Amino acid sequence: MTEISKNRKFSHYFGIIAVLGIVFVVNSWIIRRSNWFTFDDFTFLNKSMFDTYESIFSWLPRTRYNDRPIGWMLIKFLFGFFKLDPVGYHVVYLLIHLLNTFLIWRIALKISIDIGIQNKYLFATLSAAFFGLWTKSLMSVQWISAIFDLLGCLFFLLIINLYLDNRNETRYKTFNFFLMLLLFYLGLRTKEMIILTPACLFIYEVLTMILQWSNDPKKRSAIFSIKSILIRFRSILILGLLMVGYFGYLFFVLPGGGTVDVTSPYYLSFSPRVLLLNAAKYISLYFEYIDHGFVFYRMTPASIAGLVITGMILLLAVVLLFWRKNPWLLAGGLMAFIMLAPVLPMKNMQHILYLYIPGTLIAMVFGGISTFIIDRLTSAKMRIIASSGVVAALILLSFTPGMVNFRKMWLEYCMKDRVAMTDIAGFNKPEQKTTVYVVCESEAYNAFFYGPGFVNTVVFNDNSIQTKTVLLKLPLENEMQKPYVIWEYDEKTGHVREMKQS
Amino acid sequence: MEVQRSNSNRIAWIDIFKGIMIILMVFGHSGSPLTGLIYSYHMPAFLFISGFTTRFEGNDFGKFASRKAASLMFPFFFINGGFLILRKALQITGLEQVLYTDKMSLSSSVIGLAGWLAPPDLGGASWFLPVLLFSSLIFYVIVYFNKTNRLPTGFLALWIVTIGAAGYFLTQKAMLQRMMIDLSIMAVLFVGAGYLVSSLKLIEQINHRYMIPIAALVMLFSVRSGYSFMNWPTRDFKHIAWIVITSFCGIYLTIMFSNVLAKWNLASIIISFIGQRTLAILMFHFLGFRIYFMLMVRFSGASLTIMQSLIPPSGNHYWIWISLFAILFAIGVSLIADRFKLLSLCINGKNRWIGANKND
Repeated sequence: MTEISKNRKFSHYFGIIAVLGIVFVVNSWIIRRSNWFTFDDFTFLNKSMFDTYESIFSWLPRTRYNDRPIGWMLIKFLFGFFKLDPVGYHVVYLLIHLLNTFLIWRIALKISIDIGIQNKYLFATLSAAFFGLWTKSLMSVQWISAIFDLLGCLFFLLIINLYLDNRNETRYKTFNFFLMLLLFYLGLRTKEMIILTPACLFIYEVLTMILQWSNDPKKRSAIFSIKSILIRFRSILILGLLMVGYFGYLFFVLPGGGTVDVTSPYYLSFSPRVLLLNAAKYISLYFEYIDHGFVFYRMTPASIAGLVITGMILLLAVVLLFWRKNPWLLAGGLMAFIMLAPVLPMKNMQHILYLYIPGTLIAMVFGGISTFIIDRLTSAKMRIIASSGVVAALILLSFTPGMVNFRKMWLEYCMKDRVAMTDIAGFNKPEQKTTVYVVCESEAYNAFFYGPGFVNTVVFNDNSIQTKTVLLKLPLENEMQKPYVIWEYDEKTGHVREMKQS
Repeated sequence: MEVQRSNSNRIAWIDIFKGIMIILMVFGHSGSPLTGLIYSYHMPAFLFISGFTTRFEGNDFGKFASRKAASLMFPFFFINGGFLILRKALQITGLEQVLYTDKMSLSSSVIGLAGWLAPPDLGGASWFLPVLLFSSLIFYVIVYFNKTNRLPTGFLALWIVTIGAAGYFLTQKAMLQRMMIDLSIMAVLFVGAGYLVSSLKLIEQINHRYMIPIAALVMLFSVRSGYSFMNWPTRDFKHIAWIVITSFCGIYLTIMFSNVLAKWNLASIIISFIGQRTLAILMFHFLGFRIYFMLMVRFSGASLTIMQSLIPPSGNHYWIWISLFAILFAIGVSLIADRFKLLSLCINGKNRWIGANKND
C-alpha cells in the first residue's frame, strides 16, 4: 500500500472512529452508577430472577402486543452476569448503540452512489453523527426496559446491511438471504415496530429501478421484464410474505382486540387526521430540546422550529424530485415515516422511545443534506471546519435545557429507587409469604409501583413476598394478611423505614 | 477457505480439529471449568468430522461396512476385552477392592460387551465407536438410496433431519437403547451434516464476518443458560432444535479456529499429531486418570478413595495436569502399538496391511 493510499484509508476511517468516541463520551452518563434501575426495570429483574427461558420464549406471539421474548431473554441473560448492578447492563446497551451507529455509517457508505452523493465518507460520518448524538431519540439506550427499541434497531440495521451486500456483491448471497430472514423474525419477536422493514426495502429498490431506467431508457424492457423484477424483488417478496403473515397472525388469529377506552395511551385510531397529527407530534418531539418530558404534551418554540425545518426539507425534496430528478430526499423521509407508522395510531401517546428506530433514517436524511451543503464549499479547510461544526452542534444538543432537565429528572427517579433498594436490602429478610404494607403519601410513582413490589421480591430473592401500597392509612389489624411487615416510604428522599411487623 | 495439507493427502485443519476436540473431551471428563462449553457440542463435533471425511459414495456396502467395522470395532472389543482381563487380574490379586467399590462378574461383563456393546468403566467413552459405526452404515444406505433414485444431494438434508429427529424421539422415550441404536439413529443427523458440508462446500458459502460473532453469542448463551448441555450415554438432552443450533455453532467456531491454528507451524504440528491419535486417547484416557490417581496417592498424600473414582471431581484444581498426563499416556500406548501391525489395528484402528492415510 502506498503512503498516499494509507493516508487516504486513515482519513476514511478517522471520521467514524472520532464519531464513535464522541458518542461514547456524550452518552457516558448512562454507564454511571447514578443511572440506577427504575420504572419497568423491576418487572424485568423479577422476570429474570424467577422465570425460565422456556417460559419467556415462544416461537409465535401469544398476545397481540408486547410479546417480545428476545429482548426479555437478553435482559435475563445479562442478569446472569450483572445481577443487581445496573452498570453492566448499561455498558452493554451503550455498546449496542455504538454498533448501531457504526452500522448507519456502513449503510450510508453503501447507498451513497445510488443516491448520487459523491463524498461518501463525509455523508456516512455525518449520518452516523446525527444518529449517535441526537440525544432526544436516545432514551432506549439509557433505560434497561427499553431494550426492545435498541435491539430491534440493531436487527433492522443488520437486515439493511445484508440486503445491500446482497445487491452489490456476488458472494454469500444464499447465506445472507437466510440470515436476513432469521434477523427479521428475531426483530419481529423483539419489537413489532420493524414490521414494515420490507416496505422500506421495496421503496429503495423501486427507486433504483426507476433511476436506472431514466438514466438509460433503452434498457427499459430489460429492467422491467418479469424475470428481472422477480430476481430483483425476490428477497423483498419473501420478507414481505413474512411481514404479512406475522401481521395477519397478530390481528386475525390471536384473540382479543385493542382497548376501547378512548383515554388509554394504547387506544388506537386509524383516522388519517389522527395519523397526520401524530406524525406532526413526533416531529415536534424529535426537535423538542426545551421541554424534558417522555411524551408529547405541548408545542414549544423548539418543536415549532422543528416542524418548520421539516416543512422546508419536504419542499426541498419536492424541488429535488422535479428539478434534479433526485427522489432520495423524499424517499428518505417517506421511509422514516413508514418506520414510524406502526406507532402513529396510538392517539393518546407519542413517546420519545419510539424515535430511536425511525431516527436511523432521519439521520441519513440530515446527513445527506449536510453533505450536500458542505460539499459546495470550495476549500477543503472550510469543509473540515463545517463538518466539525455540525458535530459540535450535535454535541451541544445534549447541553440544551431540555436534555439537561431530562437527565436531571431521570436521575432523580433513579436516585430515589436506588435509595429505596439500598434501604430494603438492609432490612431483615421477611419470612416466606409475608405481606409488605408500604405506607405512601400519594399515588405517585415509587419503587414499589411495578408488581407491585417486584423490588422486594428481587432484593430478597423470594417471589412469595406480596406487597401492598397503602395511601396514608393502614387497614385494620384484623384485615391485614399475616405475616406482615409495615414500611413507610418517604416520597421526597426515596427512603424506606421499617415500622412494624406482625 | 484455503485447504492446507500436512502430509500426503491429510488436510491440516481436520487433524487440528480432531486434536482440539479430543483434548476438549479429556478436559470435559477431568472436571474442568470448561465442561459446560465442551458438553454442548463435542459429541456432535466428532460425528460431524467423521461424516466430513468419509466417502459414502461407493457401491460396495460390504466393503464399506467391513472397513469401517474393522477400524472401529477391533479396538472396541480388543481394548475393552483387555480392560476386563485387567479387572479380573485385580480381582484375583485382591486389589479390586482398593480400586473399586463393587465386585465384577466377568461372565456378565463379557456378555454385556459382546452382546450389548456395553463397555467396562475404563473403556466408558468407547460407546461412541459402535454409535459411529451404525450411524455411518445407516447414512451409507441413505446416500446409496439417494444416488440410485437420482435425487439431488440437497435431498439428503431432508433425510438426515427426519432420521435425526426420529432418533431424538427414541432417546426421549427410552426405546431401542440396547446396542445404542437410538443414539446411532440420532447421530445420523450429525454424520450426514458433515458429509453435506463437505460435498456441497458449504463452509465456503458462509459469510464469516457475520457468522463468527453470531456463533460466539449462541455458544455464550448456551453455556450460561445450560440449555445446550447434553450427555449422550445417559440420553440427557434438552430441546433438539437448541442442540442442533449450538452444536453447529460450536463446530463452526472450531473449524475457524483450526484454520487459524493451521497457519502456526508449532501449534499445528502438535495438535495435528494429537488429532491423529484420537482413538487411542478415547480408549485410554480413563486408564490414564486412574494411574494419575495412584501417583497422587503415592506422591502427594491424596486419599485412597480417589483411586475408586473413574473421573476427577468437578471443580478440582489439577484438571489440566491429569488431562495432560492422560493424553500423553494414551499417545505413548498408541506409538508403541504402531510398531506392530496387529496392535496397530487392534489399538489404533489402522489397517496397515492395506494402507490408509486419509483423515478418517
